[in-house]
Amino acid sequence: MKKIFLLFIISLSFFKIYAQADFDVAAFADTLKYNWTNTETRYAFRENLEFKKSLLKKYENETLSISLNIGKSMIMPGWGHMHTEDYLRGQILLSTEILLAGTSYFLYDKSMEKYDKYKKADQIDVLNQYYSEANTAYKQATMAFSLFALVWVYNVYDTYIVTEQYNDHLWVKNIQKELDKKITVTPLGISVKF
Amino acid sequence: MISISMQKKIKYLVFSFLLIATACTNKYQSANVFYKAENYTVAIEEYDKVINKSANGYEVTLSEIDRSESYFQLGMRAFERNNYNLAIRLFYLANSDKADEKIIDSYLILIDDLKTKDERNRVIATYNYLIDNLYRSERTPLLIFERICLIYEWYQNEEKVWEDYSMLYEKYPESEYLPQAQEIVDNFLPKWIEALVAKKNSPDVDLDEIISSMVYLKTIPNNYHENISKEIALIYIQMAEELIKKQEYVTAEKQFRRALEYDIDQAVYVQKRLNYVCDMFVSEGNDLIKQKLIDEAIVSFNRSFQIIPDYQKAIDGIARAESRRLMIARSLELKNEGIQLERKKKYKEALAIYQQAYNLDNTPELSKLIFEVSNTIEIDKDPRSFALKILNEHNNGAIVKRINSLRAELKEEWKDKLKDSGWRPIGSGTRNTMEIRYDFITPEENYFLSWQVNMKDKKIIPLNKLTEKLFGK
Repeated sequence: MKKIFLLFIISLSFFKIYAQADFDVAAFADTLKYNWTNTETRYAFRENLEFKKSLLKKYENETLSISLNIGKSMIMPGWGHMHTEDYLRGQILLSTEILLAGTSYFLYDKSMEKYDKYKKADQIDVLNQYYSEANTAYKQATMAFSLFALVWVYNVYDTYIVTEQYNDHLWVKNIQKELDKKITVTPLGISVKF
Repeated sequence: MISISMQKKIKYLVFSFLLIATACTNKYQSANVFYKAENYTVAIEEYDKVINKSANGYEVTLSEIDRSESYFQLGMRAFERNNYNLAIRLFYLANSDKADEKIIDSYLILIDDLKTKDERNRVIATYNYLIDNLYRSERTPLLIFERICLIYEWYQNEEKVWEDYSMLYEKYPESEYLPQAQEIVDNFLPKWIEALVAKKNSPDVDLDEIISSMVYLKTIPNNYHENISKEIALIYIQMAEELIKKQEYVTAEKQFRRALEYDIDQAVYVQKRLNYVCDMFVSEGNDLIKQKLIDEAIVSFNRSFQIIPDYQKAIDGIARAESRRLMIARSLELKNEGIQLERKKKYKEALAIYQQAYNLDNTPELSKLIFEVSNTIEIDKDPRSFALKILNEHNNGAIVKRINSLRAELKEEWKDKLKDSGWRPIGSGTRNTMEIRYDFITPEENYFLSWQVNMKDKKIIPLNKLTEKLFGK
């Protein structure tokens, strides 16, 4: 397995080297490749980048760490969602997990109770009945737990997606907020601050 | 407690989670690995992918920043290898202030090379490119100044030099290169001013255009502002003088004022000319008073106030006009009064009133009324003597002289046989007319001469054909 992995990596490196050897300098240094067709568009890009640069720090302070959020959701399903302000989904996931965990525990407890009765039974009919009941309850508990685990995994995965979306949206929101600050609507008209 | 099958399931779950986590590896971070390893070419390609595909603006921004730096670093490598053309392209793609400075550095090296090859047009074209495309650089004023020097030295293209100098002043008024550039401009500016001044006397020239050109020259710093101002003032004066010729005095006054805005030394001349214009209005007003057009005269006097407020001659003129208006009105009243008196046959009183009216407004009508009423007084006094007096005075005594001459001729021919009736006034049917006769009787021929004298208007009419033949109509 390790050998296959190493072989894969080496072939990838060769691919890169080959790619370097066949490098098209003209295309790489094509001044029109970013559609800066004139000075104004080029300067506009630079200004836009400067504007975005000014928002980096704020974003970094406000952004949610995906790993931390996933960790939170692993400990308590829906916690990460709540951090992303997606309260409804967080609550649904949390209540579903509580329900499934409770159901699982209840059924497991029931199966253990039947199982104890089964161990204490001395008649074949009673013995069979308790065994069957203990087995059914155990299967149901296992199913409930599996479902719990599945929802938990989904919760973790979804936390990743939701946090990423939150961060993406946060960036857009910050930009919009900054633009709104620059454009103020007054009774006398619209003023734009530069 | 957990069964083996359960443990297996948990393992699968953990594995799946790890798989998901691996799939979620950040593309920006993987691009950043190449950047940190100074493999800028690959890093740029990876950053391009992130920029094109990522939905995360933060990552895109970081990628753009790092991509810019990657291009800059690649540009620096090309620059160090003296591959300036490639360096310029890479710095261009870096799209940052420091990269722009390196572009200028690269081009300046290329310009030095072009200068040694004496490829002047290409040198200028390179400067043009730098100035037009990297105008935010702090070195742009320097580049403009260098272009000014080269254009003046190589091509003597003064218009282009001026254009550049204007641009330098308008965009970088605090630039340290401005005084140096001004020295160049001051070399040819007197020639320009002279050419503009020469134009002003050409026929069909648009003087406004010349002024605009001169004013434009004044907007940019140079050593000839005062000269230009004086010339502008002279052109405005020229325009004003032409307007005076066209009798457009108010517009002329505006042009004179504009002239003063440019050259206060012309104040005395302008004041003299403005006084002249005002005097024209006053003179026109006086003429209108003479024509008894009082309102029109006041309008004319008032026009001078548009040029010189409270112009004394115009104020006096208006006073005169108003006084004249009153005199005319009074004269009219007196005339009507005189007519009434005349109707009442109070001729002496009427004459006195007419004379008063005439003194206020010497109209021909009043003159006629005075003449007629004076005659009426004489008629009343002694109509016969008055009629004879009129006849004697008529045409400087022409009738009397002719009668005397005729008498002498007939006397010589007929001696004592001639009978002379002498002057015989005979009252006629009307009060104002009198018939005067004079008869010469000879043995062969008789002369019965007769005239009608209208005593009111002192007109004499011959009353028969012989009188008309001998004395004319």
